[in-house]
Amino acid sequence: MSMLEVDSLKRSFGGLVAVRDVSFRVNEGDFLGLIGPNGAGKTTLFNVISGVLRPSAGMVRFLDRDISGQPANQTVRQGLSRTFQAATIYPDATVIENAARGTLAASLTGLWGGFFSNKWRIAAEEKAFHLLDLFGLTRRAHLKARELSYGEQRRLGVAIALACDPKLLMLDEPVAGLNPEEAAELASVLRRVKSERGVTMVMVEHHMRTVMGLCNRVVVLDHGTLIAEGTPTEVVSNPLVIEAYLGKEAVHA
Amino acid sequence: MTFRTTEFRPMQYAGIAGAVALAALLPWLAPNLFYIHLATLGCINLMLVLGLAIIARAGQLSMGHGGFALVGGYVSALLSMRGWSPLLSLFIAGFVAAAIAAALGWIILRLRGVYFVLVAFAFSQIAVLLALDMSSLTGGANGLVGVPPISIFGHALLAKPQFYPFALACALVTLGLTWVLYRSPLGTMMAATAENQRLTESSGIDTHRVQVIAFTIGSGIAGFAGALSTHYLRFISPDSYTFWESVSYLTMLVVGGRDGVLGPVVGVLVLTPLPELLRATEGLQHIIYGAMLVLCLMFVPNGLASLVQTWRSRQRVVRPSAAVVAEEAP
Repeated sequence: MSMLEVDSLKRSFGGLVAVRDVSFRVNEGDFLGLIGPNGAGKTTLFNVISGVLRPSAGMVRFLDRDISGQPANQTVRQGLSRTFQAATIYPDATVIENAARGTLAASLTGLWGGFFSNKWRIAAEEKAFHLLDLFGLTRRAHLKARELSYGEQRRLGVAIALACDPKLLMLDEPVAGLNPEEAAELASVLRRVKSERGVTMVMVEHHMRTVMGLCNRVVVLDHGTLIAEGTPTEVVSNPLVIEAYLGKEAVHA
Repeated sequence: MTFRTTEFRPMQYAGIAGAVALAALLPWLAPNLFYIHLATLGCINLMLVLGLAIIARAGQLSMGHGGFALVGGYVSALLSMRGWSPLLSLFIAGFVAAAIAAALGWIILRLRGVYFVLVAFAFSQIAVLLALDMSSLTGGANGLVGVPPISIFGHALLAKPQFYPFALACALVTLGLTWVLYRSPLGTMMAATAENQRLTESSGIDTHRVQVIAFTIGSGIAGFAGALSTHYLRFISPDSYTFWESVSYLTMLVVGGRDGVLGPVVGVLVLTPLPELLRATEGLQHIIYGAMLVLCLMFVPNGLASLVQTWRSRQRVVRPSAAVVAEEAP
């Protein structure tokens, strides 16, 4: 069953077309890699799907619902969560608070409840604690998030995105800037999250080893256009993809 | 295991009880009426600064805070001069200010940063100009004189020692409710919005709505406090709440501290009596006041209340980490 359908999506900034007529689908249980050279429009595509930007044309369907142009906070409540490229944490809050804040939207009390009871806080922190456990951050629970190492901050960012129990998690370059050990650690956490919680994932990533190791399908974007789609091994041997990354001469040589 | 970091300790209960008792006993402790007058102004200032703090909690800076106090003051003055009970008109004043803030906030809180500051500032200027120009209703530059006093069960709060307990009660209730708000999911969402709006939005929270609600609550409190002050002084004019009042509430908030409810209390306690204490220095008072502000901002940029937090976290460093280690041990 397809969870996310992107249908001839287009986004332009003034005269610049960042995403041109892109269509693909994400099936339930997929770990889809979205790759492409710098400036290919990957992040723009991410932003349009997750509601940070509005599409100029085309449609995004999530769980058979049209979500194109919906603000980010609504798509999240329907089960589509995402992370950002830069460290996306609350730097001055403690690690446990960071994770607990991620659970607020799914909390039962909503906006107007929980004024005279601590139950919501205990529930949120309990849920947050399980997440920290999964991401190996339990020992850091009471530190300020700014005091964590960069690798830990990236993991915390993914933990926050998972706190609202998404069905589909979109990761924007989760291992960028991490050293090989940290990248491998995050990859193994993602694998665990996928198998334990059954979360479908989409990942923008440059790091090919991570993509090859995690993804079952890959779509390739170049100059805003989808140029290839398939399993990781199919895609890396596709001449169009090699050309996009290395240029024409490299292919002919 | 839970991670309640906001647990109270007996010391804190004792401190709060002591401070409240001291404030309540002030009419008997104060050497003359002027101290009671200052304390009353402090209570009103505290409500105004708490209102501003709630807006700042959600990450916005309102330079129009005095404007909402002015609106509240006029609404309550006009209603009570037409025979309404001042006790009722106080709340109506709060609701009117809140309603204006809600409508204004819905439109202007889409503007980020400096634009919101400018529009809120423009609102307070418009409020002053309207008060000046609609002279048939507002008395123009002369203002409204002879606003009825607040009366409770037929007992008019005319004298300063009678009004002070009422003002103190209002301030303490506002303080308590602010504290409750900060600990609620809504308060947590406000803090999250201020710290990282984009992340809060992608955690499924409508941050625009959260900011509008904070602006509405904070401005409503300002309207109520402006009305309270009007019934205390029994007078209101366009000069009662100008741009400079908005600046001084902001100064109290910054000097006291923006985190938690302690900051506004400290800021008000320090800065309400300060101009009076410095009056003895003859023309130097503005210079000294200014110098103290600069020193405060240089050495305690997070406000005087942050000194307490620093001290508390220094105490905390050992304990929770030890607790976590114990938890992980088999």
